[in-house]
Amino acid sequence: MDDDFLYRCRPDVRPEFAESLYKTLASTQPGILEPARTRHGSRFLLFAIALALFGAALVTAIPTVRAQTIEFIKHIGDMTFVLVDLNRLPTPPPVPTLAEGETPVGPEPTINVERALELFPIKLTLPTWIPAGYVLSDQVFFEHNKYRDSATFTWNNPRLVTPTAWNFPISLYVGYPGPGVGEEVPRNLLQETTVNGIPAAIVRGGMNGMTGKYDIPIIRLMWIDHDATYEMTAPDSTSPEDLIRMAESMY
Amino acid sequence: MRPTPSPPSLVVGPNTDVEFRPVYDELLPKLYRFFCYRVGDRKLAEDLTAMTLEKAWRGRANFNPGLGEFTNWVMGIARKVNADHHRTNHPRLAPDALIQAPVSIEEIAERDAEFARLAALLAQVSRRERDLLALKYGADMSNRAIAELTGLTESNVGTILHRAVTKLRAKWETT
Repeated sequence: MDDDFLYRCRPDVRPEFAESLYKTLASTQPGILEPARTRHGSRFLLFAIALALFGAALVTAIPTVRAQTIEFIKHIGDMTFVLVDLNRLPTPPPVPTLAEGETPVGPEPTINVERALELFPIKLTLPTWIPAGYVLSDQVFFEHNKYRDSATFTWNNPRLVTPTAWNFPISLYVGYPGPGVGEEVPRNLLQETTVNGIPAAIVRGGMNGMTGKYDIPIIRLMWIDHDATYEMTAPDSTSPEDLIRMAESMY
Repeated sequence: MRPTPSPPSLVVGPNTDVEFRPVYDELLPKLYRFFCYRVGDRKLAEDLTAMTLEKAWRGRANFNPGLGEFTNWVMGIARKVNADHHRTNHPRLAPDALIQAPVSIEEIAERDAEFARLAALLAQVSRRERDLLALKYGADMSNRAIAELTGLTESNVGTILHRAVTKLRAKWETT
């Protein structure tokens, strides 16, 4: 689909506006041009310490607060999860479904597997064990910039018949240095595990932003290893054991 | 001209030593184009961009690197600024001092010809479609980043964008 007109029509930022705004921000916010860490100095540090001490005292003194705080934030390895109740999720508009002949916009440009492995800044070993029926796609979504490299590999199963409209491949996202993992998950859908001895998390289901429910039939396995973030996604018919086995075959 | 996929994010946070200028240069065009596509008015887009940058930089200590990407966090602020704008219906939100540079009418007319045509079409799509179009084509965000920001799945993002672009393209070719 030709969407070039949407890029062509984009207005450029007026240089005068850019400079004017920059100067205004710099002049109205003293210290804006200094490194973030040094801006507020000792006054902020003292306030932060006092707040932390007060919070610690409160949490220690009141058992129910302590229990709720501990339950609300869940750390698994270097990952942070915010546990939420399902009934607190918002209810967005109805789900659009893809009609026959429609092609979603994207995915973004891809490169082949060999090139992706060559370009990735750390040595990547792809899984040597894959659930039966899945075949590695030679199209890898690769992003490279001065902040991070990321690659998403996929394994398709053309013969997989799912009972729902969803039909997911198995995918492996690797980001280096990792973007980290920090997201809200319903408390009953998060499970701790390990991948080759590294703390990992399994999340059953995905947030459906259109229904407000955690009803996307996928299972995800996430872990962080040597500053790289790994996230493996598969149809929920895949067992956690298979997903972990696939992940461990990378080592 | 189609850009290459955008950087996932800037690495910045309360514990990161970072200079303002690179952050500013990275975010300014993304924010400005997001607002251009979202509100369809270049001058108003400048105001909203200024307000977002001011809020983001002032509140950057609240950004938690463990909970996502800085660019996405700023785009979240931009969406709130946009929502506030529509809720309060303020004709101008940014301090007058922020916008000082004069621009000639001829210059605006020349640069805005195609954009004005597109802006008129953007006003005809749904709020959600416009939001995603602005994030995708204005802020150069990938489907994955949009999905993270909006709580949609990547496939849903792609589907909604496809429909929106198809509608726009049809109107573009007939107007």
